[in-house]
Amino acid sequence: MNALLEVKDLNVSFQGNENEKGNENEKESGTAVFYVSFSIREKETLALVGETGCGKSVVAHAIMRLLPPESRVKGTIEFGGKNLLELSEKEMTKLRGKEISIIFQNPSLALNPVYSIGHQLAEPLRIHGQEKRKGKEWKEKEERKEKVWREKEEKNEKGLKMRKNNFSNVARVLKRMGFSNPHEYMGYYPSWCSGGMNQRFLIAASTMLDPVLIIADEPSKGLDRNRVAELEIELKRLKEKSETAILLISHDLGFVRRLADRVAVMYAGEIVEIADPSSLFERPLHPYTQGLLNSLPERGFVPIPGSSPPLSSPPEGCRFHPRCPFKEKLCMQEHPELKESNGRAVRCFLCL
Amino acid sequence: MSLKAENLSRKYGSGLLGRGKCIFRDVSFELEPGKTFGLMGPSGEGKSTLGRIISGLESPTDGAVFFNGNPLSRMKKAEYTTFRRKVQMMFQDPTDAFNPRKRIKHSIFEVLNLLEISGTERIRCTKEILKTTGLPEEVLLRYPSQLSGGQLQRLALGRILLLDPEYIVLDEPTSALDVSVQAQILHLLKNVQAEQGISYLLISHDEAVIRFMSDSCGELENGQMDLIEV
Amino acid sequence: MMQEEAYIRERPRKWKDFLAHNLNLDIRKYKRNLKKLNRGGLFLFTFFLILALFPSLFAPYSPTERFIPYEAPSTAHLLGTNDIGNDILSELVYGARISLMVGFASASISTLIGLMIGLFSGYFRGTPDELLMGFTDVVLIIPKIPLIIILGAFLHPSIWILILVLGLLSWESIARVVRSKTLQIRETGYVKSARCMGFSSFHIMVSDIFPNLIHVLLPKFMLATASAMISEASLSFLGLGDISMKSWGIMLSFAFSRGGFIRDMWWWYLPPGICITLCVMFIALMGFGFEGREKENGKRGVDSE
Repeated sequence: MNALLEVKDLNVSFQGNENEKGNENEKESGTAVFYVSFSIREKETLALVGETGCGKSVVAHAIMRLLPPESRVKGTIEFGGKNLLELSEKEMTKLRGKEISIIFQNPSLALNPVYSIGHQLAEPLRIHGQEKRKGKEWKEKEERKEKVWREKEEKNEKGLKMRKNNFSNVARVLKRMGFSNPHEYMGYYPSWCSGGMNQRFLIAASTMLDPVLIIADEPSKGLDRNRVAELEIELKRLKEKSETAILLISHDLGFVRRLADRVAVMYAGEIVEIADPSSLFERPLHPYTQGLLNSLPERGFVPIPGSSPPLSSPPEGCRFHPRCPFKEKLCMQEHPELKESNGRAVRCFLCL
Repeated sequence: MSLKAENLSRKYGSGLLGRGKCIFRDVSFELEPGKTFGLMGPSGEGKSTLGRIISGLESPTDGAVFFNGNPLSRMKKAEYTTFRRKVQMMFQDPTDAFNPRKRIKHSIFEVLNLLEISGTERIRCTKEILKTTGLPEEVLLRYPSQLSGGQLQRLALGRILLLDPEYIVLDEPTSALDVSVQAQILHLLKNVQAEQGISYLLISHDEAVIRFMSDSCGELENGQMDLIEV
Repeated sequence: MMQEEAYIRERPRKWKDFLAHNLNLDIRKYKRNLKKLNRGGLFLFTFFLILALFPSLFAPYSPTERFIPYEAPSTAHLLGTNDIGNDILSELVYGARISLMVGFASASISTLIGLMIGLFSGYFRGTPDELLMGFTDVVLIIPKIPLIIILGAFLHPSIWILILVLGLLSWESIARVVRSKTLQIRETGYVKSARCMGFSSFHIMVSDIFPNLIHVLLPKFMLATASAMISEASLSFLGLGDISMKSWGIMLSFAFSRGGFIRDMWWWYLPPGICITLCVMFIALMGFGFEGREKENGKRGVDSE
């Protein structure tokens, strides 16, 4: 299988702003992502796990080119033969949603409460429908025109036809998501539906244009147990039915284990281990992965001592050494490289 | 000392208009000294409301909370002051546990002023809570937005401990944190309990957390509380 | 049909490009422009403030000194003289103090009242909230200018009464904003834990809620100042001002009633008008700037990670 998305030596740093109080570690000056390389093959689910502030969201935003302007990005992100970092904003807008799409964090906030589900789901179709180049500003224009359209609907047959066409597409996708009566649901408003249903609508919206890659940024964050279970079923269904690759970003290890084909563990802006979930969860190599797994409920909440280093001043040598129970002299002096052997990679001197 | 809830009910929107919707009714339990009572249930079932009622931030529609045998609603001023010292609450979101416009130092000294502690005693107390929570002294000079969720949650616990409480209501103390930090906080809570004999009312939607922490536990579902074996 | 549609779609695009390229009005640059405007507003406003604080440094004569009336601008009198022979430039400089004072004093009164009422009703909620907000609504529907005209007619015109009336009648929007913000802050962890720890309500309001309200209050205060200055000018123009304290509005009024317009003496009626406009604009710009900054702060609070 060939690689769909290839991230090579991605390096993201933020310029610290003196008079701005950084809200999170990432906002402080320093390197948030440090030479991260990975690739996603077609139809594969790669999970990026790590703790708050380890830079996993930054990677996702770098791929979607949604980082704030004060960030500096180096390296290459190759997607379908193009380097995403070199594309113009216009080309990127065309790509977003159509070939790469995002599943947002909170389903009840990501849907606009004043539009019906059908309307919102048809939106990506309307925007990407024509082959014309369309910028973001079109969205607003489109919405305003939508109102006019609705008034003229009876008279203007063409508009009706177009809308009908879009709506039948929406219905098809909703049916694929397991809604037995899509036309009824399309008239619903987000507040009428449960959170789980909204989640499904969102997934439907992001798969509407059959993207090749879906980025799910912390989809399970802030949801309670039942909702996470629902989400998991939806994502599984998505994996089975469609041919998309998923980049799953999460801190929920159990969730990742059940969904991912490969897992990359990040610590302090670096990938420390990449492996398939069964071997990672049963035989973790990197001490950080081991510690992370031991702090899971089913292993008795054994904590890792200390806390993650600030990204502005990472420790010398191996970035995990101050918290590592097995550290040796070498770990404090030299920075280990990500070494690969039989399908998994680890950044540690002591393993392998 | 004892803290007991008897037949608590709570309705929402029970104003002049409308009959109000019942969230839970006839909830009774008692917190045993030095033990943890876990409260779980799906979100939206009024777990947090129950926690706020126990800690006196809200009042129940029916029933009463008894502290040392006295109902909360009919307490004398002196008694109420002790209640306010002895029953504390810790909240879910560490990012707003401290006033964003104040340095941590200031937030801590504020509590010490309330307790009328000053001078060298003040420095000793501050050092002590830093030791208990395992944080370096430099955090005192930071603003809340410059600290991580785990550090803030530790500091929040430390600040509560200054008041020397007997009961702490923990409202989803770790659900906003990462797994490894969650483990650290849970262990910290256990250590503090072992050292100071505080009893907890732990509210969480995570069954594993409840099972790990609690001595007895209840589940709030459909407005009723059922006691479950741990 | 198709062509028409394409035409409709093409046009706004051209518009936008035109704006972006020729007028430098790109939406993306808007924020930066706002900052510039804010800074400019602050700078020029400081100029007016200095005028108001040290008029004797800038005014060539005392405002009560008399020369030949109705004189045109000359090197001796840069803006000429008025009907009783006062130097207009000096009048203008001394007028800044009165105008700004009316603005700031009444804005302070209204901000203070609004802050207290909003804070109180937002913090205690329940019955006090309903009573206070009901009262606020009553004040909100009082037509202000007519009331002030009536009051001005009955009470003898004095600047202090004007300040008081303007201040007492324009606090409702501030009270509303403060209340909604207080309701929000009241539910944050730090206020709840402060309540748990037994801090007094007063302490919580002063030390926890108030510092988080300042950045809402500041722009509101600025805009209240600007609107009070405009109200003062219009009332003075209607002849309800205090003649003994010559503000810009009263200068305009005199220019109108004592023949400045008829004789086409632009140096008499234009400068005070321009001064009012500029000063109000600078204050409003500062207010908008603060508001924009507040929005940025709010945004940063929401998107964690």
